[in-house]
Amino acid sequence: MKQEYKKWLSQFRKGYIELYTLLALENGNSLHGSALLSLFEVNGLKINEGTLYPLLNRMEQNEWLDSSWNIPKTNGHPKREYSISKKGKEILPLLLEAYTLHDQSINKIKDLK
Amino acid sequence: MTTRNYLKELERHLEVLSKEKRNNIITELKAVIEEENLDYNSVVERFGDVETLSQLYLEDIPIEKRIVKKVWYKRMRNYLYVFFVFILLFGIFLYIKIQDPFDYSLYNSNTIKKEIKYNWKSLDRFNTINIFQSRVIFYFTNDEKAQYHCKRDDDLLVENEIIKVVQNSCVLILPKESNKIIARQSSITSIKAKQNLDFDLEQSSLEISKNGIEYKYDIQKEESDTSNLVSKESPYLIKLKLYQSQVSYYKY
Repeated sequence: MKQEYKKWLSQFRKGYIELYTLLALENGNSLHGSALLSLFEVNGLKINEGTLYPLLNRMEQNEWLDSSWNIPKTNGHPKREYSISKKGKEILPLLLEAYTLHDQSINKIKDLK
Repeated sequence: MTTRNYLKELERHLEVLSKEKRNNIITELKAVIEEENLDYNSVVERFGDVETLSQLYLEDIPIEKRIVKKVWYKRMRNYLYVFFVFILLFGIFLYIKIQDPFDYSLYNSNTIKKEIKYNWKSLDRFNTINIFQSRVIFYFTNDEKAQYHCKRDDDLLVENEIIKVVQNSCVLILPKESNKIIARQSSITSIKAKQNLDFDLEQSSLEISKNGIEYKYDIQKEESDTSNLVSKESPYLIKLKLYQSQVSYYKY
């Protein structure tokens, strides 16, 4: 049961993590993976690196995100920073609309009872 | 298991991706791991095991393509290994096959017969040696009779004072009187000749072992290379008529 729930949650999360990521970057911010994780956690969404990084990679492949390497001038590791792309900006309202519609559908089905 | 091994293993699982994409992924994860100083167990806890994480990265690539590309890559790599090993072995084989069995210049006409236990045979009088597609080593002697040993055991043909060496590999000990040597598509080595020589070569190579003896060369050549030869004042004249041939000094 726990395993099945985990699997479902993992599938379910993928969609809305993509939506949250686009929302987090909508204002033109460039953020690296760890900053996104912290932002989500502060706002009540606890996810781990193993979920986020492959998703960021996939979103970049889909051209929803752009990425660039920020190389520190002194010490520190290079960080891959993500920003929303033109295509990402175009798709965001559609995703939000779909999300709202689903939310409304759930409420309507619940009200039937 | 270390975090370095984890990343290496992940990189191996992602080999279906382009090198650039793979490098981006590995560099990104490596930065997180090192920045937060994570040990192997923490990495597995936060990123998942290598198999699961790689599957997430490869999610959009159809499974058949993943397998096909992996199999194709591995098969290709194996073929390349086999090919290189084959080339190497073939090279070693050729080197052994082509290399002279010993340094011919270490011997002269007297010592070669004592030291090298060939089945030496005598030759009747002749004035020309005609060589075709053969490897021939010449020594020169004060004796009146010529002697020879050939790998292919059939006797050399002597017709009208012309010796014919055809598709064979021979060592010849020749008397001092001057003989004309004609060679076509052959490889000739002349060892320590203290006499005049007359060569007519086509598509052949001649190596001259000097061992301190200087020669004067009289060269007529066409499309041939004699750039290594240095002609000196000497009682011994080597006449060379060359067509698409090469003459150089002997080196073992």
